[in-house]
Order: sequence, then structure tokens, then C-alpha cells
Amino acid sequence: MSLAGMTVNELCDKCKESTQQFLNRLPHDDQYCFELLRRALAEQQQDALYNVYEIYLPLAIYWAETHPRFLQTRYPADEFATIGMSNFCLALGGEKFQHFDGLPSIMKFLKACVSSEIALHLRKISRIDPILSEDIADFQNQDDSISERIWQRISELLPDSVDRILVDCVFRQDLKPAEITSLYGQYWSSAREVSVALQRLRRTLRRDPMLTELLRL
Amino acid sequence: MDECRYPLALTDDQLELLLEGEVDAAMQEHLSQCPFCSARLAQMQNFEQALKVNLHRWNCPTPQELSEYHIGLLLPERAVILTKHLESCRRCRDELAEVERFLEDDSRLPPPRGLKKPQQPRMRGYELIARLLPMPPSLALRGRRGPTRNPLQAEVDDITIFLSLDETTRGTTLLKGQIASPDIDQWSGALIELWQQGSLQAMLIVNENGMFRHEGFQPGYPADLRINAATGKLVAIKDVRFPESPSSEDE
Repeated sequence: MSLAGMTVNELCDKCKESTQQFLNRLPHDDQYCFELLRRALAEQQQDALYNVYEIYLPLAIYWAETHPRFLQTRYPADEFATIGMSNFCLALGGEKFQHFDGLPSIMKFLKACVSSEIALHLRKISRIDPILSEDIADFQNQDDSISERIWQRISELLPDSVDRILVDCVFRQDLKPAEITSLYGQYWSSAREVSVALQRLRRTLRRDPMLTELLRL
Repeated sequence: MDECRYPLALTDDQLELLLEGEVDAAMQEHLSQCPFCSARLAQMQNFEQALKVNLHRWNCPTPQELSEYHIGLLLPERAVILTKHLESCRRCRDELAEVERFLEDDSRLPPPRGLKKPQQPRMRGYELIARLLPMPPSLALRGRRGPTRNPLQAEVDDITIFLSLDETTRGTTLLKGQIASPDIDQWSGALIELWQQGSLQAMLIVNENGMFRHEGFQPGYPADLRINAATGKLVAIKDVRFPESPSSEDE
């Protein structure tokens, strides 16, 4: 029977079989899974989409659990896997599916989506002030337009681009002095030089009422 | 307290050193005894923290975008912008390298058996929870077959979600829903997970009018819906129970 003539249920059965063979390290035929994914994502068929979740969500959970930074998240793997699956399906909807010529590249992208969700979570918790809050929701709706205005103001206060590099390193990237000297040794050759330069910049920034207001202090 | 208890207040330079964690016994002693200088230090710390919170990775591409960049899914013009950003952002370079390593690492293949059955996610803080509102009976459709149960309405921010059930001629139950929002475009193509009894029961896709449907709904169990928009917005409706319509048995 041709792939096009197969029902979603038939494809699903074949794909489950093929996935089990893959997990058993046996030769397997990817075409059924690829067709099931195509119907789910490119054609947006709901029943195919449900079967894609049923087959691949457990794999996504496994990838979340084996991510090198998963333990830092202190969240269950299901969380990252489920959102990663959604991002995967949303990203490959419609024409974008055509970028993929086979199952291995699609699976690689699913793995990337799970990894991205973990990285995003870790970004968010590193933004939270642990003294003030441990709740990720506090920074869920962080308004980047405010951040942009703050950065504009800093740029006005610090016309020297080297000064702005230092502020960017410390406050946007949260780099340590040793990391800064290794990246920008031409400007600051030691942690001490970083510290001295930073003290001067902090004083300039603290004195500005507009910046203080933007920071809601 | 508007002045220092000591003959000489700590200078800004000294407070800067404390801010950077350089501990000096004399300065620590001063701080412990002097509310004025302690308050000055606290003010500096607040400023420092506010800058970090507001500027942290504010203009970085999302990790998802970095992954799409790595795989080559981004539009060329966006890829050029990311390439430029990566030149000056150590954190993004690290994240990109991490995803590259993770994708190339096939050393840990999944076990042949024992992949876990998914559990319903409870992503504290990640989702907006829509509040279910009681619907007056007068709003239930009348004078025709179905719905057998009263419709429900859930709201969060400027989003309203309407839900109702119909009996089909095949004897199955049809869950119907519609999302109403001033920005309806962001919900077009959104994916909805339907969870019941801790298991994923169905995946639904929101159409361009904000509508969705699922035949085969099990009305006997409370349901949770998680609506994922392509913009990253996630709305959950928890513990959906359709009350029996008082008039349904009379019709």
C-alpha cells in the first residue's frame, strides 16, 4: 500500500513499530514516521498530531532528562519536553516542514527544541534575584522595551564605546572580571582594572535621575 | 538616621569595594554600627541589582532561535543579525556551543524499553491560568438537540475562551471551543493539549477564526486544556467540568 493511501492509524502502528526497532538498535524504516509527521505538521491533521505526541513525547522527556544542565533546573523533565514538543510542532507547521528531508534531521530539531526550553528556563532563573523572589512568574512578563530604554539612557550617559562594552559584559551578560579580561584584554588587562573602571561607571550611572526612574528605584 | 555615627562616613569608594565583596574588618564593623552607611550600601546594592535584572540578556535571541540558526531554519536576514549578535555575546556563543554538543552527542541512545509515560506538566509560573466563569443558564442554547451540557467560559487578561459540548449523531461527544481576543491572529494555529486523568487525550489545532473542536471527548472526567500559541504564550484552563444542563433531559 502506498503511503498516501494509508490511514493515520495505519501509519501510527507502523511508526510505533519502527520506533521500537530504532530503540532496539535494529534496522528500521523511517518512511512511516516521516509521513505521520508530515500529516501532523505540514497538513495540520489533529489525529496525526496526537499520535506524534504519543510516540515522540516520551523520547523528548528522555532528552530533557539527559540534557547536561537539566539538574540545574529543578523542574520535572515532562515540563520541558511538552513545551519543547509544542515549539517543535509550531515551528514546523506548514511550509517549514519542507526544510527537512528525513526523519533524522526532524528528530535532531525536536532534540534542539527540548534543549532550548531548558536553556530558556535557566536564563529566566538566572535573571531572578534570589533574595527577592524564587518565583519564575515574577519575571515571566519582563518588558524588553523598558530594558531597551534603559540601555538607550546608558548609551547617552556613556558615549565611550569601551565603557559600554564593560557595562554590557557586567549587567547584560553577567560576566565575571576574569572572563572580561580574557575577552577584552586590550582594554582591561586585569580584574583590578575591570573593578576600577566599573566603579567609575557605576558612579556615573547612579547619579542620573532618569536612569533611577527607569529602574523604578 | 541622616548622618554617620562615626567621625568619618564610609566613602563611596569604600562602599564600592564592599559592593564587590571585598571584605575589610574595619569597614564591616563600621557598617554593623552605622545605619546611615548601611542604608547607603543597600541603596547601591539595589541599583546594581535593578540594572542586572533589567538588562540581563535583554536583547539576546531566544534559545529556540539559536537552535533554528544552528539548523539553518532562520530567514537569511535574521541569520545575519544573529551572526552579528554572536560576535559580541559570550553567553549566546556558549548556548550555541551547548546545543551543538547536545545534538551531536548520540552516545546516550534511549533505552530500548522503559521510556517514561508522559505526566501532565504543571509548569508553575509559565502559564497564564484562565479563570472559569459560571455561565447563566439563559446562555445555554435552547430549542434544539444539544448541547447536552451548559457552555463554559474562561478568561485571562484580554483572552476569553468559550467551551461547549454537543452530542453527535454517532453518539460521541464533541468538544467545541473558541478563543476571543483582540489579537486573534496570535492564536491562529495554536496547539491545545487536552489532558484528562493525567494523560494526554487529544491534540487540537486552533483555526484562523480562533475555533477548535475534538470529537470523542469524555465528559465524565474533569479536563485541563493547555493552549500554546506560536508567540510562546501559554494559557491553561484547569479542571473543566461541564455541568449537566437542567433542561437537556426534558428535550
